[in-house]
Amino acid sequence: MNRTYAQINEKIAAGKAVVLTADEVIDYVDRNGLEKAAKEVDVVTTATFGPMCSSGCFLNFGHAAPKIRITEAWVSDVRVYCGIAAVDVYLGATELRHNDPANMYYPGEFRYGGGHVIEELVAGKRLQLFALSYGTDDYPNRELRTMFDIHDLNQAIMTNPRNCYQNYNVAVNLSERRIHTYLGTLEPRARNMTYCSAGQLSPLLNDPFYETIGVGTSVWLAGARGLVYSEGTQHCSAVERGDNGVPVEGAGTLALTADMKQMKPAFVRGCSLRGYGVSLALGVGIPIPILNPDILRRTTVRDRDILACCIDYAADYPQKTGKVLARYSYEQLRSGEVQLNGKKVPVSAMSSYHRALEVAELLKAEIRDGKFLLSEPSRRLPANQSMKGLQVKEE
Amino acid sequence: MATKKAYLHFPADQTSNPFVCELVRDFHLVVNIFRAVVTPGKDGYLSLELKGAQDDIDRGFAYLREQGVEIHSGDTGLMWRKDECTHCTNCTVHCPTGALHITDRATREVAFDESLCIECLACIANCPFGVCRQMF
Repeated sequence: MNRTYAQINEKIAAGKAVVLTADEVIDYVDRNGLEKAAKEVDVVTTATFGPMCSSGCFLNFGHAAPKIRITEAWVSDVRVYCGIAAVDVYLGATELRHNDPANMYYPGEFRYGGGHVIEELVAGKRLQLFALSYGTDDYPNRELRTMFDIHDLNQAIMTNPRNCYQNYNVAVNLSERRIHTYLGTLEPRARNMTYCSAGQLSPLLNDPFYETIGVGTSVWLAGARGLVYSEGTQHCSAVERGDNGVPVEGAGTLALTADMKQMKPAFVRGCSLRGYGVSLALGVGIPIPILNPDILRRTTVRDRDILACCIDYAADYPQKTGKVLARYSYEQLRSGEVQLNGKKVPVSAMSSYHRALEVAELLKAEIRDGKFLLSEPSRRLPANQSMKGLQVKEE
Repeated sequence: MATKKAYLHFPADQTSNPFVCELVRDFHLVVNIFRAVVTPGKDGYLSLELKGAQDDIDRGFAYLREQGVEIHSGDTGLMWRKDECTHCTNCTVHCPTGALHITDRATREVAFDESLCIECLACIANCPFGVCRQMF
């Protein structure tokens, strides 16, 4: 039983598509058998919600009179990148607010930065632009200060070079002092542990070999219709995988883009990671077309069949030793407690399964209502691609 | 025996009065202080739990009100803003009493049980989304 994208889209357009979330499909296939389910199910929706530091947006302000080129600028005191065309800027999620003391008074609080500006933009708040420039004959103005909101902009295009990590590390701290990381605060002597993945609901864990998610795939990015524009940075498909093909470490990533004017504020949230910095948490939903039974089988992956590597973030992670302390399934991690070296360790997450479920349900509803059609990738994500470290060279 | 949580706000001219001593001595209450900000000449705050006969608690509260103390009865000095929570669950291992906890294992929804909160403020330090706020 095989289907094409065109056949699935016809059913969606007619309001007749059978759509399940990656959470629901597991029991559905158990009850009905793979072959029967593959005949019935057209689309499985996957989702994730968590901090994705490699996010940001291009903004175009349009021109005031007299015109300014803009060579340096700040939005709500957060610096934006201006080394592109006149009145275009790029606002990055991890950029700190001007004069933020960072970790000068350790651990820094990082109350506000790029991620928060992006959250406020999407929420329609009024923000301040301060821009400087050298004057030119065609762009004579050298300084500009104005209030604006997202509706005043010509474009606000979220452009994220690295989102949706296929899998991720589990962090623990074996040292004698409390440490602060992008996976939260880790208490000494392994008193807590943090993971960050939607597990059985996560997009690339449901399509481990990138058979349907590729360049050109339509995605639900914080409520807006977006797309995968490239493999993500640090995409590394050549990693150790379990018998089910699911990687046991980071592996694949996606570069995503969408129009911020169409986004829902609940799924675009700035975050402050004490002692580490600011970031942006995003909700992403990706539909998987059930083109054949194999693709359906891979969407039935369960938390207990997905393993993640536990790493000491006090020593092995920063020193890049590659040492893995233990491997846990997401079922073990979600139980709230695992064993490490014979000791019980409480576990929590940085990624919200609750919000991810909400995204998967919203995307399911849009597809069922005929509002979200699938797109066939124009190019597959690289298979067997490894990742280089940086060689520090004298000359 | 009744137990009552409250946080008190007292005006600057009352910060030198020994309210806790009076609650213990004159109203026979057991006082468990969670947090306090008491600076001479400035408005003061006190977050506490009172144990004793209901009648004594009521009389104690009435006395405090007479002295111009504002009583936020039944409240802790910590606010969990449900609508802001993304339910990432990061707070749950840092909360020592289980006040912040996962209420539904299947959907991983987080909830806050105010009666268990001892105002250690670990949640404020750890929540990436600034969901928890302190009243003072």
